[in-house]
Amino acid sequence: MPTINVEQSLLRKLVESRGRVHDVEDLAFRLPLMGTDIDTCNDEILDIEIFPDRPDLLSPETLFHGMMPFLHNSPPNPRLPIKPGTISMKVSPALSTIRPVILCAVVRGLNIDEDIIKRLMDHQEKLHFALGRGRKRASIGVHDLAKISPPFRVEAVDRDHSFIPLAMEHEMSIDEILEKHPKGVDYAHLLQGMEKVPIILDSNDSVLSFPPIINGEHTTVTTTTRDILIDVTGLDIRACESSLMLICLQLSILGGQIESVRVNGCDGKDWSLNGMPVEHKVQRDLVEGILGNSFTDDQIETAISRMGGIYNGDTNGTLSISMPRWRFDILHPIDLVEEIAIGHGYDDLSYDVPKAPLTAIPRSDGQIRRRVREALQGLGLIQIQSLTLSNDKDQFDLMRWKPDGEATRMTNPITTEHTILRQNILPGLMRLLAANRHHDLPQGVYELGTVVIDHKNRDRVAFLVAEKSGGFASLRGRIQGLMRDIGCSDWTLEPIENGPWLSGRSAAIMVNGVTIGQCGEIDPNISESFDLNVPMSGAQIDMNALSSVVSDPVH
Amino acid sequence: MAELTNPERRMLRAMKNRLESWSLEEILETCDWSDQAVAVSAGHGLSNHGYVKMSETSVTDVILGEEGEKAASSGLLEARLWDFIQSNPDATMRDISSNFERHEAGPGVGLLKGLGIEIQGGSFTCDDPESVTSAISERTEFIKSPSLESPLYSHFKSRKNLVEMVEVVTRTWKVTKSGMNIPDEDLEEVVRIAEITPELLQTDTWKDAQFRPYDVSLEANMPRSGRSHPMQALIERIRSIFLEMGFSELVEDYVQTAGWNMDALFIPQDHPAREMQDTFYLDNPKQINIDPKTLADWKAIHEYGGDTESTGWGGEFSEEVSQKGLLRTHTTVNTIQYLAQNPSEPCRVFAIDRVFRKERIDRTHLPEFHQIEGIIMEPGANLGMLVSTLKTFYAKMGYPEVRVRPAYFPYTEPSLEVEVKWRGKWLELGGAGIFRPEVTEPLGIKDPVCAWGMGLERLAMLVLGLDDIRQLYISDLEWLRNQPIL
Repeated sequence: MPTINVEQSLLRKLVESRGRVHDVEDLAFRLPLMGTDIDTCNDEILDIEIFPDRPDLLSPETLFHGMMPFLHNSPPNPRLPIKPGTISMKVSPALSTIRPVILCAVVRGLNIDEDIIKRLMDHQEKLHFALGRGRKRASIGVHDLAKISPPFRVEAVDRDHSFIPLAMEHEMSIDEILEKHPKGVDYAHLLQGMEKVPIILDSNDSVLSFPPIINGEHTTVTTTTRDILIDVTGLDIRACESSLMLICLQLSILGGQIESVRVNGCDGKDWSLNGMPVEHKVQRDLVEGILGNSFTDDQIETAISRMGGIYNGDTNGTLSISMPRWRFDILHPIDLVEEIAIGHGYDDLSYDVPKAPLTAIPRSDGQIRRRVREALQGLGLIQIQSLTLSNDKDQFDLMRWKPDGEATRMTNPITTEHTILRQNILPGLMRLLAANRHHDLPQGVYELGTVVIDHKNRDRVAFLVAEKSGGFASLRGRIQGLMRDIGCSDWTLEPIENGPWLSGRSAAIMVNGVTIGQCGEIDPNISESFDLNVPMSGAQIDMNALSSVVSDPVH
Repeated sequence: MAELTNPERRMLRAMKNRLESWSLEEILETCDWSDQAVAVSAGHGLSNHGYVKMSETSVTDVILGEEGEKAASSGLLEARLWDFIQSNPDATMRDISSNFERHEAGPGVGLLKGLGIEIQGGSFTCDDPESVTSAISERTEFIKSPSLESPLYSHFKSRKNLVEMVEVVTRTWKVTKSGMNIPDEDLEEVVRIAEITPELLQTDTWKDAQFRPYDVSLEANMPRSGRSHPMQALIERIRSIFLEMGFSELVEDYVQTAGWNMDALFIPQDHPAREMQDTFYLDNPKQINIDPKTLADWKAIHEYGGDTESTGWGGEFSEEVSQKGLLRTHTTVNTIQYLAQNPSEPCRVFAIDRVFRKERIDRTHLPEFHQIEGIIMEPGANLGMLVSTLKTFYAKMGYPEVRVRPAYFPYTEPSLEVEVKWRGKWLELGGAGIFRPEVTEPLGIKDPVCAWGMGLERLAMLVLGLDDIRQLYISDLEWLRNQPIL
């Protein structure tokens, strides 16, 4: 989630310009109730996390616009004031397969300082991340209008076309920019496989921008800039429109006058920026059903006003609500339900309880899992837990075991330690005892945990005891104790030769002809490969096999 | 009267017969003891009680050192050499070397020279053997009873480890008035029992015996016992709460598809959390087939909202991305499949299980951890019901103060964050919301679905006072052994 840092002095100036008092303590308490997460809020600075559904709060100015009705009961202002302009832009039909959405607007009469330039750039970057998805859906360019000459046109050019890009002193071709310019390198993937790329030109054929990569060198906004041209290009009309509106909103709060640009799009249709709010409809039944509360019209009006919208009234149970056009996140009437809930306040919800008559059913293996745990703890073993993520070496090679069916394997592991999901519990116990080498013996541990075989979960239990003496007799005693405690008498041990066990001191645990696990003294060669040099013995039992042959004594 | 041990009783009883001081030897003899330590310890005890007065005088004395003890048992080196030379008058240096230890020969010859014996051409000569013999026998006498007054003391002091100086403490005891006042019958020795053994209990002796009182404040060794891992204990507590509240338990597989894990939950395919750096995708199984009808429904919902009133996310939906195998990033992947299979039956279900996120292991992150999730679906389910239910849930956990505020999750609307008062502080302890229509409608779910969830490790760390999450999975056994049982 993007975080923004706002100077309290700036917010104070903006709030006081509307005749309200900026109270930092009140801000810290009530801003989260609008749907943000405050990291820091002191006399100097406000650091907040902005949720992905509120990209309209990503700059100090637009945050101010959003919070005024909520915190200070200012009248909502969902309309962007736009003066019709005379500038036009023509988009070549060739763009329809390259970057079909191209929007444009002008903001005039600005008085810009270094701080404002920085905040404008920050806002652009946050929008590129939040709405633009890394400039893919939408990418923004700002230009000093005095340095370029309308009308503008957007064309698809070959990759050998060249111009002087921002931060460079000489001409570079498109291919050179994509290979060498830092921004080109970062975003080249967005144009991969395209023969032609988009270029925005002015009437003198000088390049404003090569979207979504880089602007031309000569259009840079500086402290002498008064009028700005904003272009937004991308794949998604709503993301582009919201981005453009939010930059315009920021600049208009700073005193700029927004002016429309007539864009003749790649589909031949004219488009120009519409500042009017969008009217949404939501059924009163949905609002009251989801929130479990009934609301008067006044309550709805107050709630919607606080969220920056206008309640137009209820027609036969259909509520009409106008919200700012830049509220990109309103996808469905349910989103208005949440607006009403937040505007009204989450602390005033009805008390209700689930009413469906249902019987709670615990997991079917709950009892056998508990009985095995109690039995092992009764034998003095401490339960541990280890990670499911493991590797072939620990799971199979070092243990002299073969995979059971398919092992689940990751495409993008972080370390070579964690490349597959475990099929065995015992290696984790070996690692744990190795990590506890410095403590006194005896050490006895067990884990009952999930393993993944053929991409399906199942449970296995293993125990491991390191002690100075005892050997196979004490191991067998523990197996006897476990089998007694879970109420199983028809079991046998049959010698086996595979696994991490010492040959001649290891066995399969069999119940009625079914192998449920293995046990034995650990072969010192195996211990050594886990950096352990103490006598150890243990067992691993498959819980699914165990519960298939052991019945519940209560049943 | 203070409780006296048997040796104290015997010693005091003996001392009451004479008011003058008693020496250690007298005490030993009168009490019929051979071990000085018993007498000294009894004397200390009585003196602490004020029944006797102890006087200590200390004098400096000389005793034998390590080499001195050897000399006392096998003879001084110069004595042994002199004996050898006298019984082998033709002895040469070479004979000395072959009959004595290597480290003795050199110093030994030096000692002989000091006594006036000379070496000429490898053999020994002496002008006055008588005086050598008498000097050596004087030294031997000294070793038998070393004394500070002896003129030989300074000679031996200069030889390594032959003698050392010690402080010798001499104690005497004198009975006090309060000691005299204790009647003899109170000084009868009694049978006092320390360990109670089966043998003892099978005789009658214990009936007249006294049981020695123990110092109850002394630390003892703890027996080694088995126990649950604290996470298991926490899981069991939370399971019972859900079961008490009428929720059924869901246990499902870790290996899932991107489709059920994300697309079904209306998480857009270009959402940052879906990228390779946040989710573990799988090489095996690379793809898992999803029913084409379900895929088509998701495609419609994502691209334009399908049959719902939603606008969808726009862009293009990839069925291939949907069928990618991954390790589930939340348990909701399982609850949503449960709801898809039972779209019209009211239900309350919960899951407490592991989920996976691509995180590097450090103090606060693990690539896998436990998530708790509860779901309510029934006609008329609403946000008030959700908040009331989770207040009950947290109250049963021991946190009766709960508050909620707006939050954002891609698949719930409205969404809220849950905070509980924990030891006086508000603490974020979970998220909740009602599933979006874009999630429920394509699966044929008609009733609202309330959901809430939280991570378990964070709570475990708070409860156990841990600042390193790794302690839960790569535990120090002594730490585990010393945790309270949750």
